[in-house]
Amino acid sequence: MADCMGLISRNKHIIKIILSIIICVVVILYSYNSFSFSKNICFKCHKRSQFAGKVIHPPVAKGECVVCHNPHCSKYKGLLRYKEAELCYSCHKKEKQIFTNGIEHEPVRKGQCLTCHNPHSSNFSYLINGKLSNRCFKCHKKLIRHFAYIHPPFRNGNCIACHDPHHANNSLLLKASADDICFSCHKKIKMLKVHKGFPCNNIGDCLSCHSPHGSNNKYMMRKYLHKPYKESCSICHKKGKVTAEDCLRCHKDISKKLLSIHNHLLGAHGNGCIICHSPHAGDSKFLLRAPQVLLCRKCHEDTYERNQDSLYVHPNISNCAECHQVHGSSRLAMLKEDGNKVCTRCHETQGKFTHPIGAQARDPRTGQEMTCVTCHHPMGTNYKYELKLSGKEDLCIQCHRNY
Amino acid sequence: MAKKTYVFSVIEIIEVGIMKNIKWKCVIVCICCICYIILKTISCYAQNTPWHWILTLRGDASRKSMDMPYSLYVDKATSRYYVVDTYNNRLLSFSKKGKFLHAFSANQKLKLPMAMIHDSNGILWIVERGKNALVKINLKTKAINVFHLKFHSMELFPDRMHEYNGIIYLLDKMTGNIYAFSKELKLLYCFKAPNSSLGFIDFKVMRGALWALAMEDQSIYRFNLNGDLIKVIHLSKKMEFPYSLAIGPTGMIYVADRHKNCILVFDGSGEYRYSFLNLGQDRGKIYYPSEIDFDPWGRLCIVEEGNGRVEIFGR
Amino acid sequence: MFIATCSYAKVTGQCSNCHTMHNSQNGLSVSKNGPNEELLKDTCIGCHTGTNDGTNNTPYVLSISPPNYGVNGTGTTGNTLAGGNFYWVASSGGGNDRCGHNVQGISPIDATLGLTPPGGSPLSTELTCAGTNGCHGDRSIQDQYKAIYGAHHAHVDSGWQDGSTVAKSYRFLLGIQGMEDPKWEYHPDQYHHNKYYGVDRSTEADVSGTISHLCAECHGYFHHGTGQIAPDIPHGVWLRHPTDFDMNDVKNGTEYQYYNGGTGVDNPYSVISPVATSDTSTTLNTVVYHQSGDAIVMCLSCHRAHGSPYPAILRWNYKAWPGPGGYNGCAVCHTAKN
Repeated sequence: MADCMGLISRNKHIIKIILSIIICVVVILYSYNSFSFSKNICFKCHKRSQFAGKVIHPPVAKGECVVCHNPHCSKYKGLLRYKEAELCYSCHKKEKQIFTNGIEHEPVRKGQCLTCHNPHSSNFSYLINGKLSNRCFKCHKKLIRHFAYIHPPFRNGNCIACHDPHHANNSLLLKASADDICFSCHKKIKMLKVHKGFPCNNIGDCLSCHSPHGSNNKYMMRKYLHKPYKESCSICHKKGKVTAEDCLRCHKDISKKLLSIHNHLLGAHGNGCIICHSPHAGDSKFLLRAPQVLLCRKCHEDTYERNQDSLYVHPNISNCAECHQVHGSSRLAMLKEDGNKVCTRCHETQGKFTHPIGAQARDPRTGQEMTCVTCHHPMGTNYKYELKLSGKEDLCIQCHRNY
Repeated sequence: MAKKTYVFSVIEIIEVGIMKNIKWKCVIVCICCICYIILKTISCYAQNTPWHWILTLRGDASRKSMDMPYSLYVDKATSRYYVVDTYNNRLLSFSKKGKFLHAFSANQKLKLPMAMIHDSNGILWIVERGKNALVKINLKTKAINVFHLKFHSMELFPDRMHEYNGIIYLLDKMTGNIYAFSKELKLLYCFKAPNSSLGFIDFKVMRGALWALAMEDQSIYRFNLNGDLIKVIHLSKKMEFPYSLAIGPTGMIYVADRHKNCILVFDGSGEYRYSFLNLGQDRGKIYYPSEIDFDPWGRLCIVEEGNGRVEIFGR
Repeated sequence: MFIATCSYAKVTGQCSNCHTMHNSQNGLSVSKNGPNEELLKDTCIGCHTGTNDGTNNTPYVLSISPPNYGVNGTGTTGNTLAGGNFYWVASSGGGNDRCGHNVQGISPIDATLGLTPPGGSPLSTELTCAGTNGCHGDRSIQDQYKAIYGAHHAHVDSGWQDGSTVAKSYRFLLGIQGMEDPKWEYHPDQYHHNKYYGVDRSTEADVSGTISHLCAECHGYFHHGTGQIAPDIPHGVWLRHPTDFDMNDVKNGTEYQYYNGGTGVDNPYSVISPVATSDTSTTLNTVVYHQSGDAIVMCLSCHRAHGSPYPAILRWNYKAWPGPGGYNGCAVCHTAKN
C-alpha cells in the first residue's frame, strides 16, 4: 500500500495527463454517439416518414438532427441552435458571401430562408417548399397572373428562369441584363429577322416594348403604347440619336419642370428620359419601365437600404411621386412643395395645430424655416411618428437647449 | 496625566495626518481631473480627424438666411467668398473672415442662379437655371447678356461652372459632359464620360487638369485640358450618393456624399483613407451638401443646401 | 464634456409630459380644452391637480378627494401646501364660495360677490390663474398662458427671487419678492418654509414687491388708503388689520412680544401664523425678533392664497374656537387673547 502511494505521488504528472486523455475520449465518443443517438431517439416521436421527399436535406438523411436542433432547449423557434439564417450559413458559407453582393431578395436580407425552403425535405428541387411559383406568389400577390398571352416561363411558374431568388445587381433581381436573358432563349439572329425595318437595323431593350410576364396584347406588347410608336417610328427616329430634346419638343410641360434647382435630367448620352420611361410601350400610362418603387430604387438604392430596417416608416413610402416631384423641383429633396405644404395636404389637422412653423419660426441652429421635415423624416426612423429623435425630450432639446 | 497627554498627542497626530491626507487627496484628485480633461479633449479631437470648424457663412446683414445655396466661388484677388443663394435668387459676398459684405440680385432679375464666376475684367458669369442660360453681367456698364448654349444644335443645360486660365468650363446636365468655352463662348473642348451612362455630376479644374466625378461608377476621371482622358481613378469605398469633389493641396481627393452627409477622403490612387462629418444641423455637421471646394488658403468649404449655409473647415 | 453652463430649471422630466406638438394622438385630441399656443396638453389646473405626498415634483393646488388639512386644522401637517387647496371652493368639494378664490376652471363665479373682489374693483372676467384677471405671471398681459410664458423653464429654485421677471419672481407672481420652500411648504416647520417679503410701513401708502401688495392689487382697501386712517401709527385707532407692519416696532411690553410662545428675542417662526421679513438674504428666517423688520404682518399671516376649509380662507378655524375642532391662530400674535 505504502509502495502504491509512493508510486502514485512520484508519477503525479503522468497520471494527470492520462486521466485528461481518458476524459477527452469519453466526451468525443459521447458527442459522436449523440449524433447517432438521434437516429434512433428523435424518430421515435418525429416519424421519419414526415421527412421523406424526393429531395432530403443531407443532415436529415443522415439522421443528424442535432446539427440544427438542440434536443433540450433553445431560445429559437423549432429548438434551433441558432437564428434561422445564421444556422443555414454555418454550413452554406459560400452562399453567405455570394448573397450579400448587390441587392438581396427581401427574405434573404431578413435571413428568412424558410420562406422558400423546407429545411427537412421536399418533393421539389433545392428543397423549395412546394411548387416554386406558389412560393413566389405567396408574397408577390399583386402580380397579375392572367393574360391573354402569357410568357411560358411565367405560365409554368418558372420564375427563376429569369430571376435570381437570392440576389442580383439590379432591383428586378434579374440574373443578367434583360436583353441577355431574352436572347438566351430568343436568339438574336432570329429576332432580327422578326423585327425587320427597325431603326438602326438593330434590336435591344426588349422590355421597352414587351412585358416579360404576359399581356393582353399580341406578342406580349405592353398595355400602353407611346403615340409616336403607335403611329410611326420616324416621328422620333430621324437622323442620329433620339435626345431628350426630342422628347421635350412634345412634352413641353416637363420642359418647364426641368428648369428647377434639381432635376432628373441625367446624362444617359443625351437622353435621360428613357432611363425611367420606355419610349415605346409601358404597363402604366406614364410608360414607366418598372413599378415606381423599383424604378426609383435603381438609382436611389442607398435610400432604401438606409431606411428599410427602420421601425417607423411612412405608410405611403412606395409611392415616391406622392411627395417628390420626379422631373424637377426647387425644393430640398425634390419635394413637390415646401416641407409644410407637402405634408399638410394629407395631414390637415397636424397642419392646423402644430409647433411654430414657417417663415416666422426659424431653426435656431441654421436660420432655416421650421417645417414638418425639421422634426420628421418620413422615409423612416426608429422613433415613433417618424421623428428624427425621441419626441419625449431628445428632439426638443436640439433647439430648446436651456430646457 | 502622561497617558492623557499621550492620547491627546496621538489624536493630534491623527488629526494632522488626516488633514494632510485630505489635502494631498484633494491635490491628487484635482490633477487627475485635469489630466482626464486634457486626454479626453485630445481623444475627441483625434476621433474627429484633422479638420476643425473655422467659420460659417450664413445670411445677410438683416439676418435673412440663405435658402438652398448651391455653389461657392472664391475670388483670391479680393479675398472674397461668393455664395450662390439659389432659391433666394441672389449672390452673397463675404470677406475672408466671414463677414457679410453685399447681396446682388441684378435688380431681382436673377432666376435660380446655380453657379458663378467673377473674372478679372469685372464681368460676372452666372448659370441661371430659371432661364437655362449662361448670363454675362458687366458690372461697370450694367449690361446683361443672356446666352442659351448649344452643342451640335442640341441645347445644353448648364449646371456647374468653373474658370481656369480664361476658359469657362460648364457641366451640361443634358449629356453629362463638360464643355470648355472661350469668353466669346466659342466651344473649345468636350470632356466626355465614356463608361458612365449618367455622365458627370461635378468637376474641378486645377493644376493643368480637369477632374470629373461620375456618380454611377463612383470614379474620378482625369483629363488634360484638351479633353483627352488621362486616367480613371476608381474610388475604393462604395459611397451612397457622391455629389461633389474637391482636390486637396496635396492631391488627396475629397468627395461629398450627399445622402450620407459626410466627406470621404481618398488618396491620389483612389484608396479610401478616412471620412469625417455627419448628418446634423449643429456647427460642424452637414445636411445635403451640394458642393465642396478648397479656397486659396487651403480651407475646405462645404456648401450645405439643407442647412442654408457654407461651413469652412481648416486643418 | 467640459463643465457645462446650465441653469437648473424648475420643471424637469420629458417635454412630452406637458407638451403636445399637434394636439392629436391616435386620432383624438390631446388637450380637452382645445389647442393652445403654448402647445400644452392641459390647463394650469389640469397639471396642478393631484394629491401631495411630499414626493411629487409638481405642486398640487387642487385635489379631487378631500385633502388632509392636518392636526389642529392649521394646514401644516396634512397634505396641503402653502396656498392651501382649492378643493373646498371647487364644486367637487362642496363649492363653498367663502372657502377659496373662485378661479375659472375650478369653480363658478362667486354667487354673492360676482366679479368684485372684497375691498377692490370689479374684474372684467372671472378670476384666472394668471394674466390681467389673475395673480400669477405678468398681470399686464390678458392671456394667462402668455402671461406666464417661459417661466416654468427659466425658473431657478433656490435663492432670493427678486421679482425682476416672471421666472425670477416669487411663485411666478411678477414683481413679488421672496424665497421659495422647495417643497411648497409640504409639512412646513420652523426650518422649512417660504420666506415672504414684507416692508415695514410708517404710512398707509402702498408699497411694491411685498406679498401683501400682491393681494392688495385686488383687495386694496384691506392694505392701503388715504384720508381714512388713524393719524398716529402705530398708536391710535386702526381702520384695517395691519399689513406690511413690523411687530418689532410695538413688541416691547406688549402681548406681541410673546409671538409663538417666545420671549421677545429670537422667537421661533410660526408656520401657523407666519410673518414676512424685509431681509432679502438667502438665510431662512427661522426666528422672529432677531433683527428689525423680521416680524412683518402680512395678508398670509391669517389667510391662505388658494383655499382652505374655513370661511374667508382663514388659515385656521377661528369660528369654531374654543369648541372642539376650533383653533385660535390669532393667538400666535395676540398672545393675551387666547
